[in-house]
Formats: sequence, C-alpha cells, structure tokens
Amino acid sequence: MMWLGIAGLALPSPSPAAVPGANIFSSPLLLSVLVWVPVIMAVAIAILPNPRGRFDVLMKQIAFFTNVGLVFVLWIAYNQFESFLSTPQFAENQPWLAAIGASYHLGVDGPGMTMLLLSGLIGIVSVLASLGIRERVRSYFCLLLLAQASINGAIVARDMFVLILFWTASAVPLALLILGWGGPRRNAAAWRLVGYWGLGTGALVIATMTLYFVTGGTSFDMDVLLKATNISPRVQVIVGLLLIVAAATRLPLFPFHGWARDLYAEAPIGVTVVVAGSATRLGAYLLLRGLVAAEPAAAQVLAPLMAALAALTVGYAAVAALRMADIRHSGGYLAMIPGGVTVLGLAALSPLSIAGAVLSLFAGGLAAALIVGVCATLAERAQSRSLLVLGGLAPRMPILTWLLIIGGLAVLGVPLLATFPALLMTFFGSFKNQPIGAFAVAAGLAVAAVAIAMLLRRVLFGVPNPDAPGVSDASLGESWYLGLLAGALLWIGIFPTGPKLPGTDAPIFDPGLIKTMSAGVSEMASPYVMATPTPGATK
Amino acid sequence: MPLIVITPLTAFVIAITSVRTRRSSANLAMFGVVVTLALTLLAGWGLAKTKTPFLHAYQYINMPVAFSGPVNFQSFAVDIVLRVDHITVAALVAIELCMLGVLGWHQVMGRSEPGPARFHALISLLLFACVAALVSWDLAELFAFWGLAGAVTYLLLAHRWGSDEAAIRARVALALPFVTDLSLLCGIAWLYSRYGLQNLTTLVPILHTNPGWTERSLVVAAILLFIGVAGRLALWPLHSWLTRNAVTAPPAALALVQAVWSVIAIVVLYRLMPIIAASNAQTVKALLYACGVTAIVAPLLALVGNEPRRIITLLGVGATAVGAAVVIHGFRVPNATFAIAGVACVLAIAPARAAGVLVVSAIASAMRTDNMAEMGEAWTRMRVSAIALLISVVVLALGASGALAFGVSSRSLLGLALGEALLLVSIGGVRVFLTIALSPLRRRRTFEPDRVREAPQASLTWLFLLGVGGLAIFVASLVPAWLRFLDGNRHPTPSVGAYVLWVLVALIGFAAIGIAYFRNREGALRAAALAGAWFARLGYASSRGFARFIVAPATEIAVRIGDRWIPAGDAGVGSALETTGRFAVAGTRLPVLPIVVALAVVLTLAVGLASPGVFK
Amino acid sequence: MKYLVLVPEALVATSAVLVLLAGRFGWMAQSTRRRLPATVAAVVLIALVIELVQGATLATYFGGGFIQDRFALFAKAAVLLTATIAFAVVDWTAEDSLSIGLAMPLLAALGVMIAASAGDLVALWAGLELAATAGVVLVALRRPDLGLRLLLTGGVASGLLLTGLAFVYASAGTIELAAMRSVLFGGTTTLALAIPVFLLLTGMAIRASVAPFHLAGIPSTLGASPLGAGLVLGLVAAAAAVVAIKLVAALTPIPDAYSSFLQVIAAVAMVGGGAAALAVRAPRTRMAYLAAGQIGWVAAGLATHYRAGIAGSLFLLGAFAVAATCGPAVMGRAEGGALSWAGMGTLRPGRAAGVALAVLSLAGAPPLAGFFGEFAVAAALAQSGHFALLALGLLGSVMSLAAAAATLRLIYVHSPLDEARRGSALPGLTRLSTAGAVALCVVIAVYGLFSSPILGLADQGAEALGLR
Repeated sequence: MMWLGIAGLALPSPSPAAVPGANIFSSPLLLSVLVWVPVIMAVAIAILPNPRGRFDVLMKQIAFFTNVGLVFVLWIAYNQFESFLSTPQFAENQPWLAAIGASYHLGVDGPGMTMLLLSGLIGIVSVLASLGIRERVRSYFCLLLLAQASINGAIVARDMFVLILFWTASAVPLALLILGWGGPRRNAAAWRLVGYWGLGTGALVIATMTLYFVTGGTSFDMDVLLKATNISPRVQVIVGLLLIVAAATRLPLFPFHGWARDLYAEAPIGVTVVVAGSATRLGAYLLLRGLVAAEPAAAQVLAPLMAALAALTVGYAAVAALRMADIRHSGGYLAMIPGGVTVLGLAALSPLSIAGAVLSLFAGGLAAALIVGVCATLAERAQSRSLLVLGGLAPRMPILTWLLIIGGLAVLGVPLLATFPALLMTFFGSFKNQPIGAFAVAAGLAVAAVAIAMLLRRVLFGVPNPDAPGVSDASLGESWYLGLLAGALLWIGIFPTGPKLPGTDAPIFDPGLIKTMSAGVSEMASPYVMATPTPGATK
Repeated sequence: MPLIVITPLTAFVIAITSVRTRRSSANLAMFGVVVTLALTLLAGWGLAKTKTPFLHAYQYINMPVAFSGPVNFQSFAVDIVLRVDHITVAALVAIELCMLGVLGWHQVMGRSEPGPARFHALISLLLFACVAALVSWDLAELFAFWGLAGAVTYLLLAHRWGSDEAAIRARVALALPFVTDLSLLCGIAWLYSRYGLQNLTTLVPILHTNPGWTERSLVVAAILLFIGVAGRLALWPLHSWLTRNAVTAPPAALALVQAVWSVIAIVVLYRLMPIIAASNAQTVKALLYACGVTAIVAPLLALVGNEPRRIITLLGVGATAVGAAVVIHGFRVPNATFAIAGVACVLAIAPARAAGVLVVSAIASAMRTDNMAEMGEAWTRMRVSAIALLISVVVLALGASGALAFGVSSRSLLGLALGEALLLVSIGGVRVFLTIALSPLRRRRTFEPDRVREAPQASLTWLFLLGVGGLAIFVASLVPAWLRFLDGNRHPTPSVGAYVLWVLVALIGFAAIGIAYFRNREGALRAAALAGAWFARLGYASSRGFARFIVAPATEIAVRIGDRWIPAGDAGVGSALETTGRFAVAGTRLPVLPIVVALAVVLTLAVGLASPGVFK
Repeated sequence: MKYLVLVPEALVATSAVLVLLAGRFGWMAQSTRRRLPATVAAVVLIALVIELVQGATLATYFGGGFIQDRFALFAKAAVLLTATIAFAVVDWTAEDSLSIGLAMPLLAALGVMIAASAGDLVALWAGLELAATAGVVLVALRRPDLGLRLLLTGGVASGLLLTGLAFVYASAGTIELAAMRSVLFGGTTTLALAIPVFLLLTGMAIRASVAPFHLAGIPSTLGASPLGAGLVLGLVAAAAAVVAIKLVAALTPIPDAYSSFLQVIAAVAMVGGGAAALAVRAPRTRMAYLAAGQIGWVAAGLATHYRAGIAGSLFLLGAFAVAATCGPAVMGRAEGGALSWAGMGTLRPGRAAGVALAVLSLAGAPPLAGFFGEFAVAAALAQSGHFALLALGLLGSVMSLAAAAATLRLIYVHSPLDEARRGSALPGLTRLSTAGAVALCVVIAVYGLFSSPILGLADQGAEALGLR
C-alpha cells in the first residue's frame, strides 16, 4: 500500500524546488496519502490472519514501516514546501456532500506543515513506544494507526466538514486504546476523555453551524466560513467562545483539563505520547485557524480571556505538580504547560507572538510528549509510580536521567532546546498587548521550575530507597523513542532555520522549520499589525 | 574566536558522553579551562594593539512576521553575535582564573563530593555559558546563555542532593534567581515590544529617536533589566540564594558561583547602563540608592552571625555592590568615564571572594565546625591558610577603594555612604581573620585541637593563585592605564589624596575592629552569635510563613481541584446522564397501553397549546 | 415495458407468498431449505438491481394511487438493499421458522415500498400496517406475550393514525397527497387541524418506537428473535418514517401544525436514546436504544420542514434502515446478557465487525453512514436556525458515542468467555453469513464515500415531494 502511495507521488511537480534535492516527487494526492494510508494499513492489519499471535511481530513492523513511509513522504513535502507562499499547498478539492456544500478539501500552509511534521514524528515515536505491547497486538496497532490517521486528517482539513469528521473520529480509537491497554484507573480516564472531547466536539460543531448559518448555508469550506467578512462582531464572539471551549477541552486549558491527568497517568505509553504530542495540539491549532486567523474582532475581544486561561493553566499545572505523589501525575500536569504558552502567544495577537505560538505548537508538542513519555517509562522501569518509593535512580538509569532532565528543561524552555525560541518569540511578541498575561505565565514557569527541580531531586538524585523494587535502565526501543523526541527538540533548538552550507545560505537537507512554519503566518497576523506610531511622543 | 566558546562546550560534551571517573573528569574540566584561558589571552594579545573588538555574527533566527506596520517589527531576527572586546577579555581572564583555582582546590579538597563526573561536566557547561554570555551582544542571545548559566548554577549549588537540607535550601537558589532571570527576559521582551530590536549596537542609538517611544516604557524596561542583573549580583535583598546555601552547597560550587556571577553581572550591567541611563534621572538615582543600601546592609548582616562562609559571601556582596554603585554613578555624571572602574574593582574582588570561601571552608572542615566562635589559632596551626585568608579579606576590603578613588568625591553623600560600606566590609573581613587566626581554639566533645593540621599543600597553591591574582587585578585597578585598556577612554589620574583617603578608610576599619577585638573578643563574638541566632530565627520564621500562608494553600487548592472537585463534577454529570437513561429504560417496564395513550394525549394538548401559530 | 417498474414489488410479493406456502405445506426438501436464504437474498438483490435500473423512470399507476418518483426510488432501493443484506447475515440457527423468517421481512419491505410509492392516504396507511403486522408476526413467533403487547400498542397507533387521517381528510377534502398540498396552500393552521396531525404523528412515533413512545417497540424487540428485532427496529421504523416524510411533505404549507411537535419528539428521542444506550449494558438492548436515538435525528430533519432537512432525513433513513435492521440480525444467536458478546472480535471476526460498524453507525460515529446522515440533518437544522435542537442532538450523539465505545470494548478488548459464562451459544458461521457481514461492513463504510450521489438522490427525492 505504502508503495502505491509513493508511486502516486511520481508525477511532475507543479512547483519549483525550494531546496536542492527536492522536486523529485510531487503529487496531487500527497495529503490524501498521509491521511488514508494509515487507514488502509489499519484495515490490512485488521484482516491479516493471525493464528495464535504468530504474526504479532509482523503487525508491529507493518505499523512501524507505515509510519516510516509516511515520514518519508512528509520529508519530501517538507522539502518542496514553498515557504514564501501564503496560500494552502498540496491542495485537493473534490465535492463531497454537494447538497449541503461540504467538500473534500485538503491543504496545508506553514502551521499545517509544522503540525504534520510533528504528527509524523510522533507517529514513529508512538509505535516505538508501543513495541512492548504483548496482548491483542492486532487491535492495538489497528487503533493506533486509525488515531494517527484521524489526527493527520484534522490537520490537513481545509473544509470544516472534513475537520469535524476527523476531529470526532480521533476520540473513539483513543478511548478504546486506553480501555484496553491502560492502567488500573483506565475506565475513569477513557470516559473522561470521551466526555470532555465530546463536549469540545459539540462546541466545534455548533460554532461551525453558526458560521454556516450566517454565511447563508451554502458551503462548509474554510475559505467561505473562515474568510467571511460580513459576520457581525456579536456572532464572531459567540463562535469564538465556542471555539475556545473546543480548544480548551483538547489542549487542555484550565477549567476543561479534567481528563488530562488521568489519561497521561493511565494510558499505555504509546498512546500518552500520541495524545500529548499531536492530538492535544489540535486544540491550539483550531484556535489559530478558527479564531485568530478568521475572526479578528472576536479575537480582540476574547484575547484577555485566552491570556487568562493560559496563565491559569500554566500556574495551576505548576502548582499541582508541586504536590503530586505519583510521577505520572506530575508528568501529566507538566505536559499541560506548553499548551498554556502556545495560547498566550495566540492571545497576544501580535505577528511575532502568533509565529511563536505556531513554533510552540511543534516544540511544545515534543516537550509534552517527552516529559509524559519519560515519566511513564521511568515508572515502568522502576516498577513503581509513587514518588515516596522512587529515589536516587540517577546512577542506575543514566539514560532516563538525562532524558528526564532534558524533558524538564524543555518544558521550561531552556536554551538549546526547541522550546526556547518558541518561548522567546511568544514572550517578545506578548509584551505589547498582554503584559499581565505574560508576567503571569512567566511566574507560572518559575513555579514549574521548582516543581521540576523537586521531581528531579526526589526521583533521580535523592537518597536511594532500599525497599524499592528492582530498577533497570531504558530498553533500546525506549531509548530510541525518547531519544528521537529529545533529538528533535535539540535539533530545532540549535538549527531553527536549518543547517546551512558553510558560508552560503543554502540549507543542507533541512530547509528550516522556522521558514516553513512562517508561510501564511504573516497573512493570519495581518489584522493585528501594530499601527506605525506617531513620532515625538514622550510621555 | 569561536573557539573560545566552543572549547568548553566540547569539554562538556566529552564529559557527559565518555567520562565516568573522578580523576579523568577533573582533568578534562581543568584542561578545558586552561585551553579557554590560553585562547582568551591570545585574543587579549590580539586586542592589545587595536581598539576595534573582534566581531563574529551567525544567524540563529531570521523570519518575516508581517508585511506592514513599523519596519522593525516586520521581521524577527536573533543573531549569535560573538563580540570580544577588552572588557570581555578581562572578565574572561578573571572568570577563568577563578575556575582554575576552584577546580584545582576541589581536585584536592573535594574528593568526598558525590557525583564527581556530573560536577565537573556542569563546571565545563558553566564555563561555556559564561563565555557565551560575556561575548553575546544580542540581548536574546545574552538571555539564552544567561539562563543556561543560571540553570547550571542551580545544579551546582544543589549538587548534594543526597541530604534533604541541602536540597531544600537549594530550592531558593532555583526559585529566586529564576524569577529575577525572568525579569531580565521580561525587560528584554518589553524593550523589543517597543523597539523591535534587541541588538545593543542597533538598539541603543534609537532609544530616544524611535517613533512612539515613551519615557514610561524605558523606565519599566530599566527597572526590569536592573532587577534581572541585581538578582545575579546578589544585591540585598536578593542575596539569599547565595547565603542560604553557604553551608550546605559544595564549597567549590559556592565560591565559583559567586565569583563568576559577580563578574558576568557587572559586565552586563555596564553594557545595559546606556539603556538604563536613558530612562530618566529619578530611576537611575533610585537604582543607585539600591546599590548603596546593599553596600551598607550586606556587610552589616555580615557582622551578624558567626558562619564564616556566609560572612565572606556577604562581604563580597557588599564590595560588589560598591562596584555596581560606581558603575551606575559613572553613567549618571555627564561625560564621565569612570564607570569602568566599578567593573575593574569587581574583577579584582571576584577571585578574592572565591579564595575567601574556599579557605574558610578548608579551615572549617579542619576544625570540624561552622561556628566561628569555636574556631581559632589558625595562625599557629594552619598558618599558610591563615595568610591566604588574610590576603583575601584584604583584597575584599580594599578592592573597591580604587574605584571610589576614580569615581566618587569623598565629600558627596554617595561618597559617605560608599565609604561607610568600605569601612564595614573591612571590619567584617578583619573580624573573620582575627577570630579564626588568633583566638584560642578550645577542646570540644569529639574534637581535639591538636589534631588540626594544615590543609594539603596542593590546595594551598591554588588558594594563593586566587588570592594573588585578585591582588594583582586590584593593583591594576588603581592605575588609569588598565582602565584605559578596558574601555579605551583616557582617565584622569586621581590625586594621591583620593587613594590614600579610601585606603585609609579601610585601614580605619581594620584598626577599629582590632581594638574592639583585643578589648573584648568574647563579648563581640557573643553579641554576634546572639544577633545571628535572632536573625536566623527571623529568616526561618519568614520562610516558614511563606511556606505556610502562600505555598501550602495554593498547592492544597490545586490538589483539591485535581483530586476532589473535578472528579466530583464529572461524577455528577455522569450520574445525571445515567439517571436519565435509567428513567428512559424504566419506562419500558410500565403497563404500556395506559401510558402510551396518556402520553399521546398529554403531549398533543401540551404542544398544541404551547406551539406558536396553532392556538389562536 | 411500462410496468417493468413494478417488477421489484412483484418479485418481493411473490417470493414472500411462495416461501410462506412452501413453508406451510412442507414443499421443501432439506437441500432446498439450506439454499433458500441465499436464493431469496439473490431474488431481492435482483429486485434491487431492477429498481435501480428501471426505477429512474417517473410514472404514476392506478390513477395516481402508485407513484414512482425519485423519493420512491430512494426508499425502495434502501429497503431492498437492507433486506438483501439482512437475509444474508441472519443466523438461521437462532430463528424459529425459516419460511416465516424469510417471508415477514419481505412483506415488511413490500409495505415500505407501497408506502414509498403511495399517492394517497390509504396506500400510506396500508403500507405501514403491512410492515407493522409483519413485525408483530415475527415477534409473536417466539414470544406471544410480547407479540400481543406489540399488537395492542400497534392497534392504538393505527387507531390514532386513522383518526388523524380522517380529520385531515375532513379538513383537506381529499386523500390525494398532491391535491392535499395544493388545497392546504393558503390555508391556516388551526387547533382543529393541528390536533389530528399530532395524533397522526403520535401514531407513527409509536410505530417507529421513537422515545417517549419506545415503550411499545423496544421491549418487544428484546424478547424477539434477532431478525424479528431487526425487523421491528429497522424496517417497521423505516416504514413509519417514510409515511411520516410523505405526510409532512404534504403538510408543508402548514408547518406550525407539526414542526414544534416533531421538535419535541426529536429532542426527547435524541437525548433519551443516547442516555438510555449509555445506561444499559447488553449489546442488543444498547443497539435498540441507539436506533431509537438515530430515528430521533430523522424526526429532527423533518421538523425543519425544509427541503434540505427532509433530504437529510431521507439520507439518514437509508443508513438507519441498513444498520438498525442488519445490526440485530448479524448479532445472531448471541443475544444473552451483557457479556454475551465478550471477545467476539476473535471468535467471530466477520459478525463482530458487522455489529461494531452497525453500532458505530447508529451512534453517528465518523466516518460511517450514520455520521454523514446526522451531519446532513445537522446542517439542515443550522440552515433553518434550530440551534437548540442541534445542541440536544449533539448531546445525544456524544452519549451514543460513549455507549458505542463501550460495546466495541466488549467486542474487541474484552477477552472471550467460555460458553457457560457467556450465557448463549456462538452465532452460526456460514459462508453466506460471512459474505453478508462483509457486505454490511462495506455498505456502512462506503455509504459516506458515495454520499455525494446518494444525498443527491435523496435531495431529488425531497424535491419530488414538491418541496422547494
């Protein structure tokens, strides 16, 4: 199937190469490949005969190589992505439910490409993290691939109908994964997930339908719904509020975070990574697309609310992480922090802060996935989740020690890690419009620093606990999946614009995430450009 | 030039990847420092002839963010600027000197520290961060490496994770400076949000010409930036991240951290002063007062309590504050050039601080007590250490006099204040020396005075390297040529009177404490001990209050939200839906016919009467 | 040539009668009995093909009593497809009588077809009654008491229906639907006209077992054989829905007379169905309530009294009929307690997939048939500004989704139980049933893929009813 996908790419390119080595492939259905190939492979896994689990390994390999192939396709797309175009690229548009004006419209701009890269990376990581699955392998990887497909679909959707379709579709496989392979309190986790995400979906549908209603009920295309100029501010605010609810249940933001802790604590590691890494980022992505880029009036009105939610989220998560007795709970709370930073960037409504928010979609996703994943792996390897039991593990698990340190620092946005430029841009952009929110988030980060320090101290460098069960360091697969996340964080942190041939401006093989990501951001931010101030003012 | 930055990084990478044993890690770190020092001296040699600094810039981020609006805000660029000028070289030399000394001393005296590999790797990383922060000219880049150095600092101070007390005390070394660092970030971000630039070369000229600039915004930025720097200068009341860890942190870490940070912070303050000075006179004056107050309060606190490392730290803070005051004053006085003297004096004080902390901790470990009242007779039993201590306290006490001679008139109020500070510093320093060196060493339980031996020779050489180095830089700070080398300006030689006056102030301090000491040493120590006890109690009470009235409630609320309220709410909604469902299901067990008919009639009538347009 | 359009009806009717007679007089050899289901399924499939080929020709027969238009085409195609798959997937080891089990669904399908092409009130009523009676027979075959219960409530239903029809006829002066439309244009809604319409709709709500009138239908289905349950939940409800659509289309000139009533019913059904599905445990009961919830969406589409809404309802009705009829049928013999289907994903993968997709489709989970239908209805609700109804529907859908997830967990995540703890034998496994299950999966899965032409056809159907 994968090869069909690749073969489908071997068509003449519609666009000139962005970097040397690109322009090898291009495709009118590249995005469909990214969305549907996982589904096809899931079906393949589902119907593959598997007498007494003889082909479990084969199924793991299918899942893994499917993701590798997707990342390969993605890498091609990334390399020939035109960072100077603001219009959606690799677009596909077919009428679907013509009678109600829904169409199969896909396309990505800079932020979309960034999210796709994140999702692709997380895909490989999640499969690597799931290699330890022993029971009901077929169902597990089938559901995992379906979840990834739904996330990709929600990213590339350019039609609200397609967006809702994939947005809703991701909940059921994830819930089943938790129910089937989760920890002791998996029921609570799964039903909370379904409930909160269902609430968010409802809000999203109603928001969409409101726009559909006010735009005359002719089309669900984002170009119609989100680019409509004749929407009254009041309606915009209603839609904005609904979108904030939808995003807050996903991201999660403070009052709607009820599912997050249980899920991060109970779900199997591969699933936590997917949720923390890519699925939750969809919330902020929706906020960016639906509110910031589409309804400037509502965004201006609701910006303080968003900033307050961001500050509350960061502060609450940090303070809660201070008092946790369960390492996976602390990891779950810490994983909420990058989302708060992203939303602060969106709330600040300045071109730079929006760009920072987009970058922190990527970096924050990686950081959240890393901290959650490493906490879960550590708990598994140390055979205990209780911070009262764990202690002094640093000498006995050096790899996990470094990874946990990197994860903690990544959440804080320490230099050399991808979250740093994101944090920098977010803060630099936020101080004009949302100084209070920015200060509050900064304070929250300070508390988070203390929480992380306590966690590191207790788990890694504290006094070893003689009664604790046996401890082993990360296995090869675990080291690989966590190492991939940490490596990506470092790579983007060190080469945000990609490595250049020395002395030239030609990128070597990575055109640079910052450049790719910025495509289309300027247009989204154009309503918020600050007016040129009048000279001579002194007071 | 980039080699200066890359070398320590390489050392760090090698250290974390391949080095495990204590000896090899120590040697690697030492090697890294030596190579960096050599490169620095090379750079200094290259700069000796020319005035223009070495400048290398690499693009880190450069992206368009808007197509309209003010030009500065249309794109966002962060460059890795490596700008090595004369001050940088001098500061680097001072830092590398301190690191050399501390590493050497630690190699001998720190054998018992846990996790040697980690410790030395962190020191290499700290060196990298310091070098990078000193050479960076782009404020975003500066903050990046400043933050990195801050993180490493915490890890160094909290190195003894094993003991709970150390870990708990180290928490303040994380939280407090992290807040001030964030204030630095906020200051930079604030400036950016007004000017769209963060490169000092381009930013400083347009401070007052950029359209839409307001004095208020500059004031806010100035205060935020100053708080950021003050946190790392450990100005009072932001000094507790050093003093609270004085006992529990590894001596090497404590010495290194306070020496290194004082140098970086003063240099950065010197570079940021144009922005701060651009705000307005009152602000600068207020900041000057802040430094003056610290300069007096810190040594006063040093008179309280008998923990020698804490005292030395506080004295260092006081002396550094004098330097900072001189820097700020230098930018206050129109077309004055003596601000650099403040930097020069801090450069001199830094090694002395390191040496002082190391030597007192060596003596403390030899005498098995952290209470100065129980120490003594170092002059007879550990003479060389005592001499090293003497040198370091003398440099501490005199360090600032040169700067004062250049900058401050003795008749001004400021001169009076700073002179008093100088006096107090010298009093505190000599107090430490006299108590430790000359007072009788009594027998205690499980302690036999005759067992006290001189510290190993190897460690003492490193101490002398530090002390003498500090002395040398201090002497240099008295001659205008050195200052001219540093900032390239010609400096008027102050009258001999000025030198004499300020040195005299210190000597008066020596004399005063000497007399007081020989009159009634016991009384002095007891008074100090009593005050110290009270002071410590106050400190603990305040921290306990903070923990009890701020931290505990907040965490309690958070935990309740997570553990009780949200689950309760979810359960409520869930059971409500469940009940609805059961109700719907239960209907099927009722006698069907009457119910159906009744429902039909009721619904029909109700809706019929209620629905609009039907019932008329 | 002209009467070729009637061939499907003829095929269905004759095969029903033949099977009944053959069963009654024992004309069938054992081998014939074994091949009978496949044969009947093939016949219905042929009828479907002919319908699809010939049904496009618009014509009226019997002096306007039988109208072949796009609406009829859509409804008949849907019901024939449903019947085909149902016959294929049924677990005959769980049924009580082969011949009756084959004949009743055929008669019910015939009833729907008659109602779909009905040109006047009488034909409508006849079609609905035929379908309902077939349901009663099949239920009574296993549980006479439940059959009686269904018969009684059905009696009430048809009583209400007849009263309503009589009053409507009285006030419109004609039983021709088209004529009724034109008469009612310009007429105003009065309580005297509204009350009978309400009664009419109540009657159909009882037939379609829409909450709060599910008290009659659903308990009967729980005791019935799988096919009987599917018949009552799916085909009979579809018949009622078809009748309702045609009536509502005829009454569009006076929307006040039914819109608010339908809204209330739809709201109760959507929320109540979802909540009830969440509250019960046994898969088949859950499926029944999910169906009750989805038929609520159909009612909501009607409440909009716009062409888009009715097109959406029709579109959803197709998906509903397939899932609600074949779902219980494919579940087969394993209709015991909550754990009867534990781990069936490994024991009977084909049937399990069928059940899973049917449940998901009834819950409106993307990207399956039900989702597209509900979305079309939701879009219509938005177009006509019924946002409160939409919100309630979404609430119901979320609950249904959770319920569906619970069932899927039971099927795929729960480990299989032994015979004793499962409480019922495994469903039979034949080549036909597997093929049928696969066909069911394919239909439910690709309904969305081809939703553009299908919805287009439904839209033409709505247009054919004279809606703008």
